[in-house]
Amino acid sequence: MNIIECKNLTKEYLSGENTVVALNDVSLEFEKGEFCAITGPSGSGKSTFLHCLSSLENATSGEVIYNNESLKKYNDNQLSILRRRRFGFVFQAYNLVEELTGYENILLPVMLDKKKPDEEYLKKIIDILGIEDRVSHLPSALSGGQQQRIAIARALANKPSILFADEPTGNLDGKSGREVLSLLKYVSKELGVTLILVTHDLHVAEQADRVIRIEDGAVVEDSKFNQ
Amino acid sequence: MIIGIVLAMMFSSGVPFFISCMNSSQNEIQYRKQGKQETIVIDAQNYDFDIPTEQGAIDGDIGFAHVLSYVWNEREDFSDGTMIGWLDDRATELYYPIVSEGRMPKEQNEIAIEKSALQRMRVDTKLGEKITLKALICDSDEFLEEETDVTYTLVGILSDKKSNIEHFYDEAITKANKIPAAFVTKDTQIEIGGKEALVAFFNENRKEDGYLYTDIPYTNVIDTSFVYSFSSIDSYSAIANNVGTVTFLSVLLAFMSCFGIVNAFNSNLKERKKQIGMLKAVGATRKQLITIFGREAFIICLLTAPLSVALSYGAVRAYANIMGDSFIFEPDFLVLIAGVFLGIICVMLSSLIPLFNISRLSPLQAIRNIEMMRKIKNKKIKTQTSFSVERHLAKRKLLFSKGKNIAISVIIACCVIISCLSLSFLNSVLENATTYYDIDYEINDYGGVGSSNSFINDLSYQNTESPLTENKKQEVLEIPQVKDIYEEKQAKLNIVFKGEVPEYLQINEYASFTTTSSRFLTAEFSDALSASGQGNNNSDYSKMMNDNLKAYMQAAPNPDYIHTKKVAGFEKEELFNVEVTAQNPELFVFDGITKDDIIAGEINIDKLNSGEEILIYAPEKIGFSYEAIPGGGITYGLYNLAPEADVDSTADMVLRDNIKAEADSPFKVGDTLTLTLLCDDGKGNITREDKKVKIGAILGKNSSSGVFRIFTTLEGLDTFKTNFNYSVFDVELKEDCSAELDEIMQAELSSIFPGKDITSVFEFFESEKQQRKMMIISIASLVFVFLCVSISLINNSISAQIRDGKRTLGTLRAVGASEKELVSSYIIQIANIMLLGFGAGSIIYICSCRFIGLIAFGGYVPIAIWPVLLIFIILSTACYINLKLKIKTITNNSIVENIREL
Repeated sequence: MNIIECKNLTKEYLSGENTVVALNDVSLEFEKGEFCAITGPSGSGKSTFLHCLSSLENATSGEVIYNNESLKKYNDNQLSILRRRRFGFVFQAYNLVEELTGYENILLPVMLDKKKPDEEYLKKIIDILGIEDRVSHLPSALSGGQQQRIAIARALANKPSILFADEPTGNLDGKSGREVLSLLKYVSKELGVTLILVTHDLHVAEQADRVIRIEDGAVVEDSKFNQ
Repeated sequence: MIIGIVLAMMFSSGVPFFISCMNSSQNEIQYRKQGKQETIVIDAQNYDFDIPTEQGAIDGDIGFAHVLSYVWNEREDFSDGTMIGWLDDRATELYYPIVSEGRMPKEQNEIAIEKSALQRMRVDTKLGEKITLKALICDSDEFLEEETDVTYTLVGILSDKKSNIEHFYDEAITKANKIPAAFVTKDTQIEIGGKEALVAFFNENRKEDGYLYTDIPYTNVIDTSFVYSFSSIDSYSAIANNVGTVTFLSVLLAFMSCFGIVNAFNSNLKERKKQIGMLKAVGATRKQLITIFGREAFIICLLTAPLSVALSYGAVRAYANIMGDSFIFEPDFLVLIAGVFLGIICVMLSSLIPLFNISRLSPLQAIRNIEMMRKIKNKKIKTQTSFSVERHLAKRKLLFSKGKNIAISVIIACCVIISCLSLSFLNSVLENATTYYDIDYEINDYGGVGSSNSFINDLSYQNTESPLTENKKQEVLEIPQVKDIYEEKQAKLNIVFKGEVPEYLQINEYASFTTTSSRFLTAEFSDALSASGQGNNNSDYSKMMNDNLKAYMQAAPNPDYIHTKKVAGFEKEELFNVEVTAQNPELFVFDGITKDDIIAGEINIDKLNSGEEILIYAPEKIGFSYEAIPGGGITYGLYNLAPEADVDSTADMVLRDNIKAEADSPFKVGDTLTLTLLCDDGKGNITREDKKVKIGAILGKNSSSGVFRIFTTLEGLDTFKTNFNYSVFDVELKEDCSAELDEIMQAELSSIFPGKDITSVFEFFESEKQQRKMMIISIASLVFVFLCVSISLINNSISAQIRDGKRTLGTLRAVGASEKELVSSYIIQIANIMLLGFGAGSIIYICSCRFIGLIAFGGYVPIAIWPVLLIFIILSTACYINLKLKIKTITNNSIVENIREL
């Protein structure tokens, strides 16, 4: 069953007088609970694809369908609600709010949704991610790996359907990167979350159920593995 | 930043424009009133100007008015005429005739006449119509004997020149009004048999120290009584009276513009901190950085200069237009260049401050926001487990940027204090502005009241000659524009008391010791007051006051008082001298004698006229207060202490808090008072006239003063046998007064009352109006400049915070925050900052109204709430719009663009 799909997704940028095609007519479907890695060389359009798919950026043409509903008809406010309730994001640069502590950062989507936090669930995530003793600190007092774990916890706080991760290990050393990746994989399996991850690291991609390779804005390979 | 620089350049280039406008306007006002000449010599045909010219006393050429004849209206008084003549080119340049209607004559038999001359002659000829006048032809400094008729076509009406108006009434047909006020075409020949008289116009050379020659060579050859000097600036000039305001506004403009530039550059350079850090990292020196960014500033200056100068020019022109015809703004090329240069210099110098600051940063400081990271690290934060994102984030941001926000709060507080104080001051000025008077002119002569010749020892009255007579009254009533005339008489009577003078009236004596106190200690008080005025810390006076004033007074009765009493046959009685005002009943309302001010009784005009009743001004409770002025002197007053009393001024409020003696009124309606009028024949003989009167009504419910007085009607006062002189004539016109009518009336009244000051209510209103206008413009400019700068500073700060927090905004959007929530978070922050500023500003404003107002304005400034609200609304609206626009710009971009590393 597809949780999210895109049809004929195209993204063009203007660079001076030239038009750069970052995504060229990409159509893909993602199943619920799937761990999909999107790979490709630098500038191939993999991050752009993830941004367009997750509604962080508008595509020039084409559409994204979430749970059989096109996101085209969603206004800004509806997209905001969708992002806080159904999507989780993990960025390469962590993107934590500097003024909030780790725990407050994790609570952000829940609080934006004006819900009472599910403390048991949050504790479980924090335990899994191993950051119990770091959540009361401000991000500036945390290491890169710890900040990325907080970012993952924040992405999962509202029990999203899909977790989008853009080079989540890109800023981390090898060991931290591996740890974060295995955590992402474990948590998504454990919580039944679809994980769509962009990486140019083939070792990371190897762990995915499905690997999509993008080159020059077009899908050149789409492989599924049974692990 | 460009907007900031344009505004700053506009303000700074406005300084030379503003000064130029003020300077040319000041000159223009003077020239319009008295011409450009410094000196006018009458009957100049009698003098040889070669000697002073050769000796260098005269600057440039001499202009001559060729005076042909004296003309007047046959139906009117001969003396109300004017000279006719023509001006040569130099005289035209110097005398500077201003055509207010029509034009100067171009053809033979055309004439242009100054307005006041037309009014004097009572000529109602319209432009283009023929005017026939009687004429005496000049014969050098005399006239031909034969009168002739002359006919001209009136083609122009000229503005009045001070030279004509001021000297006209000195002596008719003398040297003074040989200055022509009616002009015919150049080269018009004088009638056969006559000989032109000349009037010379010229400027004098100045010594190196700027002063005129005191030993001007022409004074050796010219009778100086024929010379009129106009070298001083007209004291009535509105600008001369507002030099302080002009200087203040100019300095304020320059200061504000520099402040604005520093802020604009600061904001711009902070935005480009990373760029500067990069340049430093790759080896750029401080000097190179300053050169790079300084050049950029210079280019922006040059590019924005035309717009800034145009805006500045427009603003000063608008100002000149608002201020009226006499305000001239015609800057020459040099002033324009000065404006551009000053603008550029201000921008370049002011930009150096932020440039020096930013170039001092280390590359790492510039690239990474280390300062912020340090601040955050040092804060001990308690994690919240449940929160409103907007509020919580706002709180944290406020916590981490406390220093910056306090600066904004201080700016807001300053803006509130200065704007509100200025607006409140303006408010009180406008509220207190007199807008309506029943009368149009007042001619007064109090010679019978204040002078010692008239009142011997303040008890007895001596009638003196007064120019305000019945005949003069009739003359005024004959002026066609006059509707009515209201008269007032003032007299001094004495109330006779069988025993001691009541405490209530004794307190009145304390307060009038400097002028008319009669019974006690006159000399001692006078000496003490004189000593205190010389700055000896008021010791004598204070001692008297503090050591029981009453005892001091009663210990030394005035010998003159005892003598007068004895001569008049009041050996056992006490006399209280009181001022009696007798008016035409129509003037009662004008003088505040209204139903609202009645404490008891009623005003019965018939009984007042018959002399049966009087009105007394006697508030229920009065108090005497005095206060020593630091450094010497005293202020004192007698006040109505009733709760309904109006408090006129701050000085009153201060004194009211310092009451030394108080008493309740002993008077009741229906009480009988014995009044006595003591008349002195100037040889020591005193006659006495007694009269018993009843108190018809007691006044003084609302008025501030506590001074006891008696009021009655003119008829009532005349029931005394003595024929009192008029002290005031109040003239009411048939129609509302205008500038033209005022000139006519002043001329008419001056001719009836030569040498008397004519108080023109119209002139008073006009001068008040002009001052108010100036004040409104000055205060509006001040508030406008402050608001502009404050809004600019606050908005720059908000913009900088939003730019700095762009990634945070992107992150919040990525995790599901909507635009509304982002705006809310900033609104909470701004509201906090603004409330702090407004709170502090409002408190200081209120305190200032009470305390600083005393120093700055010499009185309390009444607290007005509307300025606070107005400033709050303007600042809040401007900040909200800016915030909305900035957030909109952010959310118009994609989230990815927001969170992308710069």
